[in-house]
Amino acid sequence: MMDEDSRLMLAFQAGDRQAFEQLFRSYTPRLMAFLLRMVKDRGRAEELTQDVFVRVYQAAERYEPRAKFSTWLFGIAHNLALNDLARAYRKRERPLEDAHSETTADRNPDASEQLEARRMTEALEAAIGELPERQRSALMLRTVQGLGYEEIGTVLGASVSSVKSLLHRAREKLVSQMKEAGR
Amino acid sequence: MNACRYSENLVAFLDEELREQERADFQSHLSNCQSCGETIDQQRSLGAALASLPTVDPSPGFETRFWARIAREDQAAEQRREQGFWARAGWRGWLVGLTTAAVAAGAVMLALRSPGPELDPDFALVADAEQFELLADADIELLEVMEILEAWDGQEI
Ligand SMILES: [Zn+2]
Repeated sequence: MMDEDSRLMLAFQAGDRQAFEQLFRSYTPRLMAFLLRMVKDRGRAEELTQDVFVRVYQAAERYEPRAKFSTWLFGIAHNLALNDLARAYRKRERPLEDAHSETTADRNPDASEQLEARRMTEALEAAIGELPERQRSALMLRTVQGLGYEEIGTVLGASVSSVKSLLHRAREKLVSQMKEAGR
Repeated sequence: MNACRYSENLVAFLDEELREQERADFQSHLSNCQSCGETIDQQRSLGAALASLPTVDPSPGFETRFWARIAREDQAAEQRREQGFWARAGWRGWLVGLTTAAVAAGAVMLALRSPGPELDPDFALVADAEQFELLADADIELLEVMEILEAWDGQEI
């Protein structure tokens, strides 16, 4: 069974540009969410989201639906993010730390409950940011993108059992850091 | 931190990624392990928190910038196609010449030997030109595939 998005991609391959627009629009928020947490910089996350879809556009002629479309797409996104991190590392750029705070900053801060929720969200974002790259990728692909273990394995080039262990370690670390923050 | 040695399976259990037997084993373990029971609750609330992380909207002008890039992409592809054709027409031009000469020579010989059907000398050229265009396309594809492979390979940090 071919997934709906692979079908859209094949439609684009056959010349239907609206199918491409549809894929672009429906994946942009998820790619942004993934890439922002990977590179921790809003501008770069936007740039990379576009890069992913430029690649998709370029590869359309040769596209073959071997995996689910989302697996293929996040494979490209993951690799571009790694490239970007490596480049930033070589240039010794410090990732911007305020990338996440602005997403929650303009909520109504009146109730103390809301303040507390916001504080916990920020703590969670910070804890995610501190995870090793592979744990972070696996976690984001699982929780934000809803990919299965096998798909995540394909994206990361890892076995299902290493995916299982990456997610186990990531989530264990997050729970212990959230306990700290909740104190 | 959960010290229980079964806890390795806990997250996969919540993600519904355990095989049938593993799942049954873990479930029966869960009914008499307090440590895993507590961890399950913590992991569930972490799961809920992760699921409600704010989504991120791109800044204004994001789409306009993207479609401008795609338009440039179309232009570049068009240019590559043209350049590819002429580059190959250049270094393979003499091949066309040779082939055409050979075909023409053959045609002359044929024509001399037997009064067969007339061979249109332009025919060979037209067919070749079409092949060149295909060749140029194939080369551009190869370049793009290599670019993508480059992006896919060697990026493990
Ligand atoms: Zn246990």
